[in-house]
Amino acid sequence: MGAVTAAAFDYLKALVVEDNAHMRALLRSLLHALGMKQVYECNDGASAYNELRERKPDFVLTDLSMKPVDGIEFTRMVRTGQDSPNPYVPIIMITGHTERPRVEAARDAGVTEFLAKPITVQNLLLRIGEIVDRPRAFVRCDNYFGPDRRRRRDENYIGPWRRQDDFKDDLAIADDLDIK
Amino acid sequence: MFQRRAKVEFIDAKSYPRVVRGADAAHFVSTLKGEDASRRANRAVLARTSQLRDAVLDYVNALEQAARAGDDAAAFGEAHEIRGLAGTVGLVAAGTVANGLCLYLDALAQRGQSADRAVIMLHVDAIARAARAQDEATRLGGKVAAELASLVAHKLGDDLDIAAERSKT
Repeated sequence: MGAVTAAAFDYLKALVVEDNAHMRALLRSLLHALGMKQVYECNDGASAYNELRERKPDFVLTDLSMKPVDGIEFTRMVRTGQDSPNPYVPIIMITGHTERPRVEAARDAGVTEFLAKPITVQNLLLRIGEIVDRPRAFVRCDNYFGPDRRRRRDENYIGPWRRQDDFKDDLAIADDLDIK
Repeated sequence: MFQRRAKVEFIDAKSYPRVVRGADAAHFVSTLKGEDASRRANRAVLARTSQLRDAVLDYVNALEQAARAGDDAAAFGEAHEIRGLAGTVGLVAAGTVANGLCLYLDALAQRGQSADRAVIMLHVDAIARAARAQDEATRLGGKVAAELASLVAHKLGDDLDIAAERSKT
């Protein structure tokens, strides 16, 4: 590892939010193995929110199912809470839930990346790489604040265009945009 | 249908603090993609494998108890832990079957229907065998996982048909 990069791993602060002690320990070991020295841990969303304020982590790895405050509610608090210390912090949600409604709810709360359980080293490294290499633009509207949920533009998309930005080349249309 | 003006603000990624700044970011990412990082991370998983397999076996014991007691909520909870951990430590079939059981129980819970005991017990038995197996062939029981998934699909389809028939009468 080169000196520049070693320093980057050194100063990075990660927050792991997971109620399963075994999974938490595994994630801590993985991050330490990568050279991250500052790894903080919590077992639910409420304590994680306090830790976020206290430690100011650079990114968060969180589970979905936790009590009393789960990963979705925690993400919502981080993104839209009045006293949120960093609404832009990247949140990687680790979940064994493959049920679509839960994944959609997490996305709509403002999760940055998903990491499916069972976790693999390759996927974890990929997700961390994504948040560093390709930070997402954020969107603020009446009912959402968080990373842009559209990851890519489909040139062949034939459905309706709903965003003002979709018409940025045609400001006249954007000005008059009043979707019904 | 939207009746009011859409107000959307886009905030460029450059306008908020990056996780890793400047030149460090490129080095960071190339290091993450390098063989050394992945070797060190895999070593970390390997160091915990035995402990994690024991943890999975504990969850399997608890799952068997919950299933025998007819406690579907507890069975879901234990199966959920197994699907989360098992695959990471090589117990792939146990994790896959546990995921199938979770999907089955979740689908029925959302429909307000009760689960078929036999389907639950077949899953629990397959999870236990796969997790406790010493030989890789049994441990990797992909065929069993596939057949159970097919059984669940049939059962859920049958239950939907029965519910539809009932709603007609």
